Amino acid sequence: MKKFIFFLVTLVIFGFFQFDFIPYLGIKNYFPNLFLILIIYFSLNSTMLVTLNFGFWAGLLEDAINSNVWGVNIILFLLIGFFLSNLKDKIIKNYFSLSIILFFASLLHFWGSFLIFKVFSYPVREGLIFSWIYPFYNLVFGLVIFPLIDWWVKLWKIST
Amino acid sequence: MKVKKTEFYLFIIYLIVGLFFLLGQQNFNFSKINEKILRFFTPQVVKTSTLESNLEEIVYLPRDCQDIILENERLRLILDLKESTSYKFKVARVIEKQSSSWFSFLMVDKGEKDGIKREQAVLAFNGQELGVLGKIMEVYPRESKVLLINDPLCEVPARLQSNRQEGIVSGRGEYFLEMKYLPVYTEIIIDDTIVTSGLSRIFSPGLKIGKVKKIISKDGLQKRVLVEPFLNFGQVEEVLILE
Repeated sequence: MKKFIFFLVTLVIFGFFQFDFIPYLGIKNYFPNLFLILIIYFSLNSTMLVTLNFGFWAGLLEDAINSNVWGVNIILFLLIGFFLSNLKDKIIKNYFSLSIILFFASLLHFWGSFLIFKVFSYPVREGLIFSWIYPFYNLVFGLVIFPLIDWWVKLWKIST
Repeated sequence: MKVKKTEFYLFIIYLIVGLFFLLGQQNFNFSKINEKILRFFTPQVVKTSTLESNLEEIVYLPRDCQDIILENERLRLILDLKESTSYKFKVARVIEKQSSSWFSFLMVDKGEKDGIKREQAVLAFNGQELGVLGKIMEVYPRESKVLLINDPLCEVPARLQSNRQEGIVSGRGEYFLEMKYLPVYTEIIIDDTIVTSGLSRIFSPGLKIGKVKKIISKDGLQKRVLVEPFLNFGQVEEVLILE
């Protein structure tokens, strides 16, 4: 039960930050994605079950509010979470590897969205010259937020 | 090993649900769920009954006098426009501005129940003059989502006011817009006004979009120019939705 409440509260808090606070931080209309950072955190630090549940519900919220195309973020968050969870034992956890993971997972998320929009013939933005901002933005935000998520999880005294 | 199987099955089930959403959204209307989630995370005053309308008035009461005077001026402009033009429109209030890495839009407080439909043109005032803000992208029961003209997905057929040359104005995902598909021989005058050409079902001709800022590029066939939008999207409070 405590785990379930933790799950709900975390999603709601991240949702409020993502949808009410992050929209003020756009650079060239690119925004950090707190949900993606959350998925990466859980895929590296908790069980696959937790990662998949967070991946699905966070993806659903992101799709409903920001994407206008349902399913895109659900699929990408699940894929990123699933593969990182499988790889986590082979990854040496330090700031350098974390930065690389944040960067490439964000790239995968961005270009994965682009590919799905193209495949399903949804119109996509053309000015992608600044798309490098997205992974860098997530990298910086991720490095700041990871210790905060760590603290938040420890506060609940649960094993994820 | 058993746990791994369970996790794998869960992954597949969630993935199938994701695919179902992706493939099924043309056939299913998710707008009500969308609206509920949106309202939960971005709570606003929503008109649902007379009681709530009254509540809204009470919420707006504490604003200072200057604010009310400015609003009166804006509403008077709208009223004058209603009497002096043949445009039929509905007035809506901006209740939220949102941006994601893929879309740039705002929410207004009129929706399906007020007769709003997708692809309707949305205009706003800049001082005394009317300009193009965007178009209705999604309609919820009591609210609508407006795709702003600075979004790369928003394309508006337009023409240069001085030489009547046609092109397409679209967003760049930033403050400035761009006008493309101008023939390479087109004479570009800096600060020339760009208006809608009327060559679309959505926008009537002659509505102001912006001003030419500079030439971005010219290749063998076309010229592209940078356009300063006529409207300041951050200042828009009321919008007109053309019928």
